[in-house]
Amino acid sequence: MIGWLRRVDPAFYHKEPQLLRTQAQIARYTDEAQAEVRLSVLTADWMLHAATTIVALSAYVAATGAGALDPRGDWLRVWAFAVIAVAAPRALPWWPRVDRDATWRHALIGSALIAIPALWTRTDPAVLGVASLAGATLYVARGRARVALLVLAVGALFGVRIPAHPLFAAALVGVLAAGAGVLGVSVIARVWRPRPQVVTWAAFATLLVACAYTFAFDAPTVALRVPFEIAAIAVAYLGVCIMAGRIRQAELIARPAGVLSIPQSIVPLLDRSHHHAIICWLA
Amino acid sequence: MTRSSGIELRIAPPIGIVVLGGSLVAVTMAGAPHPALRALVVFVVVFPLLWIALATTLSYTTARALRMAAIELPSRTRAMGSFQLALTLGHGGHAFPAIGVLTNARFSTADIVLDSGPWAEIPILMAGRVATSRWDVMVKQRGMLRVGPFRAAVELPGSAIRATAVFDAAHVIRVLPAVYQLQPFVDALLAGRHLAVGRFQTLPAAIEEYVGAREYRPGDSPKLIHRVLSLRTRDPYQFYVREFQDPSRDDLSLVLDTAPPLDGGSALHRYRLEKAICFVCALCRTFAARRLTVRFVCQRAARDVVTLRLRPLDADLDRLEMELANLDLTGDRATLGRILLREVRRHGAAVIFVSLRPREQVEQQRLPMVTLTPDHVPVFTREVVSQ
Repeated sequence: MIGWLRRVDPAFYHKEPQLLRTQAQIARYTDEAQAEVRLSVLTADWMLHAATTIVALSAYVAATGAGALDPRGDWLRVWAFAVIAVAAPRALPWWPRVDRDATWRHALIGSALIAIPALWTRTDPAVLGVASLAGATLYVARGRARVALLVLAVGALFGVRIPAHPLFAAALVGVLAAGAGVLGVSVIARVWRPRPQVVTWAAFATLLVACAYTFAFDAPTVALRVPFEIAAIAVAYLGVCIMAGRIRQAELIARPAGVLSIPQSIVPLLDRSHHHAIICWLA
Repeated sequence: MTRSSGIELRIAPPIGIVVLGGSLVAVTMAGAPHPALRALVVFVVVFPLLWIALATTLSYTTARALRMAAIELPSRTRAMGSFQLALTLGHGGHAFPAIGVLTNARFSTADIVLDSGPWAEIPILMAGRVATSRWDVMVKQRGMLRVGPFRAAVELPGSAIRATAVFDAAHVIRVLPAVYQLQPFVDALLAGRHLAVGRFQTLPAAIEEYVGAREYRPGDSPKLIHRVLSLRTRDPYQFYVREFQDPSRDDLSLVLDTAPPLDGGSALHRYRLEKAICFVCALCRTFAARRLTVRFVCQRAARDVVTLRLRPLDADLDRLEMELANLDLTGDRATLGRILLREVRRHGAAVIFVSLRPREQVEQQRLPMVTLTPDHVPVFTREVVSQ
C-alpha cells in the first residue's frame, strides 16, 4: 500500500519540510512600505503641489516685505529669496519628477517672481537684470545642483548681513545650513514613517524662521506694509493647513488593507500560501 | 452604548515639538524689539498655536465622546474559513462631528497576537449618530480566538496628540478544525474489515432497536417489510423495510494519536497533529454520512481519555468538532497502547488508528487494524473546503 501511496503523491514526502521552513511574506505591511506608498500617493496629488507652491510664493511675498524690498539695493537678497521660493518646494520628496521643459518653467517662474512686483512699483532695467539672473541660475542649476544653489542662497542671505566678512559669513552659514538641512532631512525621514504629520509642524517652523529673519533684518521695511504681510502669511498658513489635510488623506489611503499574523503558525494541510494563524483585512 | 475604558494618548514626536518651539521663540525674539510689528508678530505666533491647540482639543474630546454601540461576530468559525467582524461606534458628543476615526481590533489565539490593524476608517461620524467598521477575518489555527479590545483613534491634521479610545470588550470565538473533502476511495480503509455498504442481518436480535426504514433491496427478509409505509406508496411494487441496530455495537473505532514525540521535532509533530485532526474530522463526517456509527477515542490529557459515540446526527458531529478544537499533544505512549488494545478487542468494529509517526510501530503491526501515518493523509484528501 505504501508503494501505491508513493505513486499517487510522491512529491509530498519532500513538500512537508519545505512548508515548515516557508517564511511569512509581510513586506508590504511594514512602515517602510507604507511610507513608499504614501509618497507615491502624495506625488500624484496635484492639490498638494498647488498648496506647496502657494506656501512658497506667499512666503516669498512675506519675506520681501510684500514687494517693499528694493531689487536694486538688495538685489542679492531678492535673488536668494526668489531662488529659494522656486527651488525649495521642488526639492521636497513628493514633488513629481521634472520633465525636460520643467527647467525652463522654473527659470521663468523665478524671473517673474522678481520682475512682476517690481515692475508694478518701479520700472528699472536693474530689476530686469536681477530677474534674469535668478532665471539663469535656476536654469543652470538642474538636478542635484539645486541643492548647492539652495545652500548658496541661504549663505548669501546671511553673508550680506555681515559687510566686514561677507564671503566668510556666507560660506560659514552655507555650511551650517547644509549640515542643518542634512540633519533635518534625516530626522524628518525617520519620523515621517510613523508620524507623517511631523511635516506640518516642519512647514510651520520653516515659515516662522523666514518671518524671524525678515523681522530681524527688515523690520522698517516690513512695518510699512503690515496688512499685506499679514495677508501673505495668512495665505501661507492656510496652504500649510491644506498640506496637512492632504498628507492625512495620503496616510489613510496608504494604510495597509490587511494584516497577517507574525510569526508564522502551524496551519492545516493543503494551505500552501503562507502559514499565518490570523489574516485580517478591510471589508 | 458602552463608554471607552480609557484614552491612550500618543504625543507628537519630540523633535517636532523642539523645532516648532524653537521657531516660535526665534520669531518672538526677532519681532519683540519692533513695536510697529506687534500685530504681525502676534498673528504669526498665534495662528499655528491656535491651530495646533484646536486640533489637539478636538482630537481628545472626540475620542472621549466615542461609544461602542455593537459588535457583530459569530460564536464559532472554522479554520481556513473567514468571518465578518463589525464594530459599530456611536458619537455621544453634541457639538463637533468626529472626523477621520480609525478603528481596529486585537486578535489573539494561543501565543499569537495581532494588534497592529488594519485600521478601518470612518470618514465622518456626526454627533448622535452611529457608524460601522467592517473587517474580514480568516483564522487558520483551530482553538479559541479572542477578539478585543477594540480601539478608535482620532488625530486631526496638526494635532499634537493621537487620542485612542480603548473599548475593553473581549469576545471569544471557537475555531473548529478545517473541513477536508476526502477522496471517494476512502471506503478502501474498511475493505475486508467491515461490511461498509449496508446491513445484511436477516432478523433483528432482541437487543437491537428500531432506527428507521429504507427501501427494500434484494436479499432483505420479507419479515422486515414495513407494511404501513409500503402501503402508502403509489407504486404497488415498492416496499420499505425496517432497520434495526444494536445500540451497544459500533461500526467503526477511530483512534487519534495525541502523544508528543520522543525525539524532539515538536514543530513537525504539531503540524502533523493539525493534519490528523482535520483528517479525523472529515473521516468521521464521511462515515457518519454513510450511516455508520463511529466511536472516536483519543487522549485529551493525562489519565483523561475521551470517547465519543458518533451517530449520523449533527449534534454528535458538533460535539466531536468542539472536542477536536481544543485538542493538543498531551497524550502518552502507554495510554495510547492500552486504548488501541481495548478497541481492537471490542467485538465487531473495525479500528482505524491515525498515527503521528511516520512509520507504523512494531506493536501496532501485530494488531488487526488500519494504521494511517501522516503520509497517508494527503492521499485520501482532495482539498480543504473553506466554509
